[in-house]
Formats: sequence, structure tokens, C-alpha cells
Amino acid sequence: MKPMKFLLAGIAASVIALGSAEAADLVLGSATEPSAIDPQFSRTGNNQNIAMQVFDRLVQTDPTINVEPALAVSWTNIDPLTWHVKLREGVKFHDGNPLTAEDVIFSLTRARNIPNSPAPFSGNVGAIDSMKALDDLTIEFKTKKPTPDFIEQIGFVYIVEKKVSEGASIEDFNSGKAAIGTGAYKFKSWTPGDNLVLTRNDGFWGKKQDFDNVTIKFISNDASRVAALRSGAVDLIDAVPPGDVKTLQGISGLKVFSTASARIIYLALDSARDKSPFITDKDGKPLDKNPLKDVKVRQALSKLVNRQLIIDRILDGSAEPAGQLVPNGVAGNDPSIEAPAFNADEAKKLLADAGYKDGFGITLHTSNDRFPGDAEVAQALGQMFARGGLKVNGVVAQPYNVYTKGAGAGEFSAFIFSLGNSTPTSATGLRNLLMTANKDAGTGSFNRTKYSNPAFDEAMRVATAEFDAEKRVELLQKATKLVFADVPVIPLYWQKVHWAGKANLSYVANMTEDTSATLAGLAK
Amino acid sequence: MSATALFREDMLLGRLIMGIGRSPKAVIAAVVCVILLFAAIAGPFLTPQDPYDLAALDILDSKLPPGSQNMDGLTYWLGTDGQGRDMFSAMVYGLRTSLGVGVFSGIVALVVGTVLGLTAAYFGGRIDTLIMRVVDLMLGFPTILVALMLLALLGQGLWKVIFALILVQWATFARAVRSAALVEKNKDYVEAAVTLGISTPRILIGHLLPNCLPPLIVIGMLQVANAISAEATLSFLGIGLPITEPSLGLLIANGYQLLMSGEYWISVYPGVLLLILVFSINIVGDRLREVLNPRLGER
Repeated sequence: MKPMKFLLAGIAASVIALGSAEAADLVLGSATEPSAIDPQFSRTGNNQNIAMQVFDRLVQTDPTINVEPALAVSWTNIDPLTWHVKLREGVKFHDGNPLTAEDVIFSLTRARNIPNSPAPFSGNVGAIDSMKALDDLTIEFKTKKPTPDFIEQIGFVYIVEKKVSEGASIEDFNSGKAAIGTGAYKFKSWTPGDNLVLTRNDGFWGKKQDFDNVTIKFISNDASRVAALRSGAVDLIDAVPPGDVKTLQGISGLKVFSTASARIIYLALDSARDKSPFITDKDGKPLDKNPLKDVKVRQALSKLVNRQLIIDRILDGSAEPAGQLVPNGVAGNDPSIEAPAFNADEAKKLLADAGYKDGFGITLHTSNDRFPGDAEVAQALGQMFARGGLKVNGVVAQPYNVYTKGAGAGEFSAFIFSLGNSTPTSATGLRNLLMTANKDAGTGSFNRTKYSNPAFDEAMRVATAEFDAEKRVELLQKATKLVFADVPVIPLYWQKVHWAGKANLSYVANMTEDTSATLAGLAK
Repeated sequence: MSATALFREDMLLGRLIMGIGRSPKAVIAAVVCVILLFAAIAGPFLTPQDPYDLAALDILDSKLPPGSQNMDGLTYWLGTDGQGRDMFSAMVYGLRTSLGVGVFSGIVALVVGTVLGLTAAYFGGRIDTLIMRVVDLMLGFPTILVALMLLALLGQGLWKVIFALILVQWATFARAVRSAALVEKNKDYVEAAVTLGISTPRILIGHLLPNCLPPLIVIGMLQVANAISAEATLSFLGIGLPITEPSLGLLIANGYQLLMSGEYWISVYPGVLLLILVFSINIVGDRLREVLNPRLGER
């Protein structure tokens, strides 16, 4: 009888242990991995996901991209060139030191020059002319020119502690020595290619977190990540492939958290050059003229795309058709611009008007691992263009890290890309994607096709200098309408994003596509 | 080539066919191989659709289960993939690519390996050392790793895949030919030929080579199977052939993502076809080895 009792006690004990372990710890399966722990190293999503758990910013966004206070509690515009920012009281870094104005000034200065940063925050601090601490918790900023959305620029830079970060190398952050923030979780360890471990910061200024320990496992393969959730190896996963959403919803004990994202997927067209590398005539010989320069051709291509069909058939409904940069809900969206409807007859007429009655040859390029279905979408576009009378010479899919270099170097004629929008208005996206590329002015930094539209540039200059928020949005809508009539890129769709987790968890699905333990909790 | 050599080849061929005929297992495998080879060659005449022509596909027909019909009355007996490709057509075309890549790269590697192996064995000395050290180096690396690195350097495409496969295969042939030739080299007939003043190339090709053929045939057969698997692996990893012209490996990779969603046919059918193909070639290859290896008894 004795061994039996033992066994029962053992089972009971392990059940309790299991239950409490589940309640207190979170294992998160993430599709992406950071390239560094230094929160200012790169603005890309994979790095930000980790940074936002350990560090804080002056402001943060809610799930629908509205600005809310974080380390800053207020920001006031004294005159067009002066801002006063008040910091939150009683915020402590993980090492116990209080947050002061000096730390913020140091962080914003540091962001200007991070060695080897692939996507620096330098654009966020470009407007600053000078900074001065008025007292321990108040900073006075002077800007170079009137900057109405100043807080949306500096507010998203991560704040580090001056004492530990001054002179710290990238390795000091990776090892944890300098990874000292004010965030909800403390950094414990990072094993590249495998996992990252966080522990709860009990002195956090914000909402108390539900988890004692958080382990983030990096599982880049979609099928493996889904399998890990189903087998119970992880509690929560991000980037659920659209095709698996229905299956996961049908499994008891699992839940799916979905939202429309502000990430736009678009087809960029080489519209600025006189000759384009992958444009040919119908026989496959290089063409001296670049048909993509003609707005009629661009309009025709846009009309040949059946967006809803792509969404239904390839993305399993996980997207919204797009006709402009940002979706409804983000300021700057113009509700009067609808996604161009599929119309083969009109497209053929436009092509004939442009002098390409018999079409021309084109090769499409795409990544195959950046967002769900990228390579499949490119093939579908190929199909649709081929049906519209174009000769599709090929659809080339490459891994993202190879592809992005080629796209940036102007090696392609038509290529699929995406732009995540994580700011409350469309201004940042429009400035980076469609304004004439100019390094000094900080415009067009993602304008890979070197598209240039002076009328739009001017409209943007006027819009971004407007202090009245309502009027600014109106001006942004106007600029959007002006530029999309010229088809600078072919907008395709805004994707829906999904997380999935065990039924005893909750997760705040958000438009900025953040995957963070701070957004997860125990379901009440 | 001399009459003797031709006679020997005839004998060899007869021996091989007789040998296969005596094993029912090998007969079935050989028949399957012949059928698949025929399907690959006659591909475009057998399929209801050209799966490589984007204009012939309709995304409305994507992910249809096996047995579905489209609006024109065409039945997709094996279903369709995510782009609306008829799976049967796609598999036949994929088979063409897989077999074509496998056989072509196998033959070229065989020729290159044979020339280098014979040269090494016949001349010996420094040439031998040089060639065989390169062979050792090549064989020291895992096949897929070398191919992966090459494709990462060269970029994608049919000919690049073939080139990569040739590069990783020739060493196997070179080593086999060299060892066979070393045995033959000291036999009387070679000495006789040398004494008669026959030129070196003629001795190599006309006298040595025919006697090295048995092991070459076996290795060649097995290497073709290996090359097909390797190509499938590369395509599965997404660095092989273009996505609009899927080989069997790429079809499996495309369907693999949908396996969990219940759309099994996109991955499973090409997988089964690949399995049958490689399995049959291996069975025939194994049988040939039994027939040609005196130590294994059967002749």
C-alpha cells in the first residue's frame, strides 16, 4: 500500500507543481530573433520585440496605434521651436537607480550614432537642435524647424541608463551587463539561435506582470512553431500562418488572437529610370524604353491585380485590400480612396493607350520568408499579369537578407515589399516610402525605386509643418490622394496578423505586430 | 574502338539484363523506372495542363482536393496546389526536372570523374597524388553543405543546380574508377598494348575503361538516385529551382506548409512519387551490384 500512496502523493505534487509553473511562467515561440540586445541598435521588429520588454520609451502606442504616455507624462509646446517634456516620477532602472533627465538626454544623443546599426533611430532625433535639463524630471528641447509631431519622433527611442551604457559595447548589452532598462522584465540571458530568458521586474512603474519568468524560444519555421504550440512545448506563438488559423481555432485548449495590421504589402515598380533591368519585349529581348515610367501602364498593372482573390485564395482571408498606405483607423487614411478594382478591360485599354497593345515582358522579384505567403502572392501576380497580356519572364523568390540588398541596389524592375506602420499617423510612412530620396532631409529612406513627385513632396512639407492636429490629418489625406493617383507603388493589401496560445492565456493583438510578454497575461 | 571492346560491352549488357530478370523485386523496380522515364520524356503529351505557363493557371482553382473538377470540365485527379496547378501535371513536369537534373549531372560527373580517375591511376606519381587529394577534399565535405554554399554564391537556377551537383559527385566516380583501373593496369593485356606502341589515350579509353565499367555502372545508378534526392533537398530548402517551375522537392516544400491545414495532397503525392523514383533506382542499382560483384556469388 505504501508505494501506492507515494505514487499518488507524487502525482498530486507534480500536478500542483505543473499547475503553478504554468501559472507563473511563460514560454513564447517567436518567429524572429533579435540581432542585438542594445535597444537602439536596430529599429526592425525582431529587435524591438525584445527591447520593449526590457526598456521603455518616452511614449508608447496602444493596440490601435494611439500614443499614450510611458516614461514621459506630458509634453507641451511652448513656442513653435520649443518643447517641455515632463518625466514620470519614481521610475527606477533594474539596478535601482532612478531615471533622470540626464539619462534621457544621454539616450537621445546616443541614438544619433550607433556604430554599424542597420536601421538606426537617427531619423527620430534628427529634429532636435538642443536639449537642456530644467530639473531632474523636466527637459527643454529646441527643434531646428517647427515639428508638430515631435513627440512621435523622439518618443519612440529607447531610454538607457547613462551610467551603465556610456562606453558600453554591443557585447556588453548582449551579455546582460549593460542591458539595464526600466521595463517590465529584466534581461537574464540570451543564447543566440535558441532562446532568451527574462524575469519579472517587481519595481516596474506600470501594470504588474503575470509571469515570473519568460522564455522566448526562436522557432523560425512556421510548421515547427505551430507544432510546438500544439505539442505544448510553448505556451504562445506569434506569426501564425494564415492557413493554420482555422485549424488552431478548432482545437480546444487553444485560442487565436487576431487583428488587422498596419503593415502594407505592395509591389514596387521601377518607374524612375529610362531603362529597367527586367523589362523586355514580348520575345524576351531587352527593351530600350521603360513602360513603367508611364502612369497609364502602372494604372493598368494595378487594375490587373485581383486583390480580393489573392486574399481569399492565398492568404485564407487574412488581409484587407489596399489602395493607399495606411488602413482605416490610422490617421491619414483617406476613406474616399478605395482599393483599385480588378478590371481587365480597362487595363487592356490603358495599356493600348500607352502604346503597349501587345504587352511587354516583365520579371517579378520577391522574398520568400519575410511575411506569410510572399512568394505565393508574387506567383499569383505573375498569373494575373500573364492573363492581362503581359509576358511574365519569371517570378524569382529569394531569402529576405539576399533579396533586400538587390531591391535596395535597384537590381529589379518589379518587386514585392512591405512597410510596417508603427506611428499614429501616415506621415512617417509617406515620408520614408514615397518622398524624394534625400539623406540630409531624412526623406525617402525606403524609397527604393527613387520615385520622385515634387508636388507630393511639397504637399508633405506643408502637412508635416502644421501644428493643428486635425488640419494635419486632412493635409496628409490630400497628399495621399495626390500621390496614389500617380501609382508610385501598387498597394496590394494590409495583412491580418495572428498570435495563438493556450486557452488560459490572454494576448493583446496589436496593429504594430509587437510580440511581447507585456502584452500577454493569464486569462481572467 | 576495337571489336573486342564492343563484344565485351554486349556481354556486359546481356549479363545485366539477365541478372535483373532473375530477381522479381528488381524486375518490378526496373519496370517502374522505365515507366517513370517514359512519363518524364513524354511529359507534355500526357498532362492536361502546362503547369509552368502562368497564364494557364487559375488561382480560383487553388487548393482543390483530389477529384475536383474545374469549370471547363477538367478533372484534377490529384488535386491542385496553392497556385491552382493540376498536381498530376505538376508532378509529371517535376519528375522531368528531377530525373533530368539527376541523370544529366550524374552523366557529366561520371565523365569528369572517369577521365580524372583513369588519368590518376595510369600515370600515378604526382598527378595521382594531386588528383586524389582533391578527391579526398571533396569527399570530406558533406554533399548538401557544398551544394548549399555553391548555390548561395552562384544564385539560383537550373544550370547552377546541375553544376553544384556535378561538383559534389565527380569525386565519387574518380575514386571508384581509379581503384578499378589500378587493378587492371598491371594486367598483361595493358602491358601488351603498351609494348605494341598503342597511344596512351587509346590504351586508356579502348583497353582500361571497358574493364572498369562494372563498378561505374553501379555507382552511376546509385549516384543518379542521390542526385535526385539532393536536388529535392535543395529545392525544399528554397535555393534550388525557380518557384514557377517546381521540381518534386519544391512541390513537397510548397505543400509542407499546408500539411497542418489538412491539404495533404500538395505535399504527400509528390513525396510518394519521389520515394518511388529513388527507391526503384536504388533497388535496380543494388541488383546490378550483386550481378557484377563476383564476391556476392550471383553472376
